[in-house]
Amino acid sequence: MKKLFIVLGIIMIASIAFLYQGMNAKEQSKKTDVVLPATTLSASKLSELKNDYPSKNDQHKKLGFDCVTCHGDFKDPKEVLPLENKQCLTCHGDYKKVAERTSFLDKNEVNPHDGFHHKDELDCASCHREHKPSVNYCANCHDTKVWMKATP
Amino acid sequence: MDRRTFIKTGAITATAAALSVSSIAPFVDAEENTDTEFDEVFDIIVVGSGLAGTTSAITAAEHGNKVLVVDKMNILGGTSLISGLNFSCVGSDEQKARGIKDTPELMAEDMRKVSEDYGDPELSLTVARMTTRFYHFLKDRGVVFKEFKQLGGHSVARAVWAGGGAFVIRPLHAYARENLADRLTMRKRCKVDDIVFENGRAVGLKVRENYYFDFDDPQNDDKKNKTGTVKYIGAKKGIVFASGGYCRDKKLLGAEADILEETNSDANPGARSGTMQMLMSHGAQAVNLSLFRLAYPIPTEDLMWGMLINPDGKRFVNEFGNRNTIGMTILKEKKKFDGKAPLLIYDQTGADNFHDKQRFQLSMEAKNGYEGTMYKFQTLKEVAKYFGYDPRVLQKAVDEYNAALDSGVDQEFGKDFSQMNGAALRKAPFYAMRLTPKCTYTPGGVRITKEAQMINSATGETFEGLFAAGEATGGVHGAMRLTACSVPDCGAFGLISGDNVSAMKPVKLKMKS
Amino acid sequence: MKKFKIRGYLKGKAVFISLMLATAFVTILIALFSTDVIHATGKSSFCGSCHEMNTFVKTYERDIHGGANRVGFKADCANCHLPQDSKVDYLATKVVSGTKEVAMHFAGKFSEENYYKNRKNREDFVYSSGCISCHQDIDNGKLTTDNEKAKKMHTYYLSKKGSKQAIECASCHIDVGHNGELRKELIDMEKYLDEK
Repeated sequence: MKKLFIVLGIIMIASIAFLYQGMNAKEQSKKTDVVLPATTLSASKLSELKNDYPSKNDQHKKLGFDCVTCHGDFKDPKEVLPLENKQCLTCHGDYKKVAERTSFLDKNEVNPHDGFHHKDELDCASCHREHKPSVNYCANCHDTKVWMKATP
Repeated sequence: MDRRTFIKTGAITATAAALSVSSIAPFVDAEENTDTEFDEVFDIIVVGSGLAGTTSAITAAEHGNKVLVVDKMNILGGTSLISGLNFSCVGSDEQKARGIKDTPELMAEDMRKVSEDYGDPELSLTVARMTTRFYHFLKDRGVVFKEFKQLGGHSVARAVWAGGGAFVIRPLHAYARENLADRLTMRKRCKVDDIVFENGRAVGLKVRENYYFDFDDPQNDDKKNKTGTVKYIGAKKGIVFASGGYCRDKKLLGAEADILEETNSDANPGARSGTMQMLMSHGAQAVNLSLFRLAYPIPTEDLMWGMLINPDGKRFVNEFGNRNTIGMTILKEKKKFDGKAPLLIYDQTGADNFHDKQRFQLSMEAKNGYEGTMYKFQTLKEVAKYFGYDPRVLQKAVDEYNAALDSGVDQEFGKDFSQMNGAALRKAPFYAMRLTPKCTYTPGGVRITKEAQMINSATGETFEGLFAAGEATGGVHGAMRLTACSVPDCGAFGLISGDNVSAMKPVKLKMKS
Repeated sequence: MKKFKIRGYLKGKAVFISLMLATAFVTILIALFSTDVIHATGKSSFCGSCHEMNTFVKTYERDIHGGANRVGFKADCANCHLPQDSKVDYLATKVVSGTKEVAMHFAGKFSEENYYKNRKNREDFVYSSGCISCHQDIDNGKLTTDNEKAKKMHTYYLSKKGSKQAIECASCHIDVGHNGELRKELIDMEKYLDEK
């Protein structure tokens, strides 16, 4: 009988822990009163634009970015240009860091961030696109499907 | 029909070549704005950042001029950056060390041998004469030559090689950044729309900055792409057009010779004719536009080890023929089958026979350019499955080919079977790829004098303030550019244009206030 | 007769075993919740004692958080991989993930590929409260940096915090703690290509 109690006891503790954990699957944090600085575009206009120009990048989507997060403040969406490298790299570190992170592609000398032809001179926007499917710049001249998956 | 007769029929009158294209870009009178206000003013503007443009710009900057290089693409370096850049050079240290006797005349003669008498012999000689100076120009600015080669068509060994275009262009650009930063500016994504003339002299450019080449619709980029903001940039001394060839411009290639639309190209995606058409609209004479140069992902001499069949599983050409005959036959066959390229198959013995194992390996690793990938299969059935053939049809083609090999005579196409060194289609594994000739160079372009000045077709005289260099020019090579002769061309006219534009008397230009 | 004897024998044994287990249980309980043990089992040396953690320990040791800094300071695995906002959360998560990992270890179900794929769920096992327990300036809005974008992004984080669109530290700092090498170490290029 006692043995049974003990086993049950252990199971109980574990399941309480699991249950508790399950209930609080995500860490709960308190709301803050921090607000983002106002932009030329109203919040409603921003969410409207977000619908017109949806992000195709899962990671960026998860972060819930607004247009202005990457593009900076603007008045007319028509005047918005593709991002320059330095704009991407404010969050993504520097070119070398990106090349190191993707160095698993080095194996075949085909890491586009440190490639044979272009080294660190390709624009991010040559492949990575936010609002259209990304492309593989190398595919302009090469059969890349053998060495690379789709561009994130 | 061989290539030569083809060209002759394609462009019966060589002088009509320019006209045939100017019909696409109607002749317009030069803009005679007498007092354009410029956003920026430089001494010299160079259009294009490949080898010719870079050379010209560095030379001009070293003469003390304020130089701007503009390139429409998202990356500087043009096609040169992604080319092999073998440099055929007379009087290199490598030649001296080996005691090789060579003269510019001999090199020019070699170049003329394959020109089929097209083009201007004087330009070839100018190119050959400048090679020694260009060799030292490169070496003194950080380019290191790793190999010395004897290449096909050259009567002596004279090609030096730095390891590829990146190993030439990158050191030059780095040199410019480090030593000429105060005088030389390089600007990418800047497209030239027009030339500003003042009293008949070219004094500036209308450009668009922040131009994004349309990779999604490259064929219509010149016509439809409206990106960028317009700016007027003045050039007090002159403008050098080193804007490259038009290998990727299937519209122009197709207009010159219908069948060329079937070619592949892995030149710079921006290698199109927009700038040349603009120059022609101002009257610049263009020559030899019908000429082209075909190549394959694998060396032509290694095609012979295999069998080429069309999508119906039939052979159609002697695989041991010459580059252009095979190329033109493939293009015609491709056209017959709605653009579907023929299949090239080797067995293991054939693969072992390759002269150039490195290029074979590149093909196996899928690094040999667009549609340059070779695949390996254990059985012919797998080959058939992968390339969409009926296995029985493929087997029949293979059997017939092997039988012909055994008989020793190729009744159909006259392939010389005595040279096959055991290559047949018997020994697994098999290697196969679709084979399309690539257009790798366009010998045609704007006509220049040996002083690199552009010629006005209307007056027959040179334009004041307009120079051209590199693949943008025509008439240097004639029908077939000799291997390793594009670098000396870019170098020679890069240096000459750089010198001559520097020697121009500056004009006074107005800045926007 | 025989039967009876066995039963008696068993009964004696059972009491003994029960007693032993009970003692063990109580000891475990005390031990488990004693600060020392909690600390000891949160050390990277403890986590790294299982071979499947090799990759993680190796990349961690090359990271700023793993001692590759000027002063040699080290954060422990548990500092980031367990919530630090309440003791109960901490313990519950510890029991759950510990149990899972031990089970995985003995079931031999470990695979680096699974870990590779699981990187996209990193917000579930890298706790912002852990980061903030050291980097407090981020949470109290006193962050000082020359990088305007960094300031902007951390303001962004705070503005979303606690809301439905909340993001976590690891949402952006995707390679924190492992020197940006984890992805490379976990993945085999050939396998990566086969995935498609």
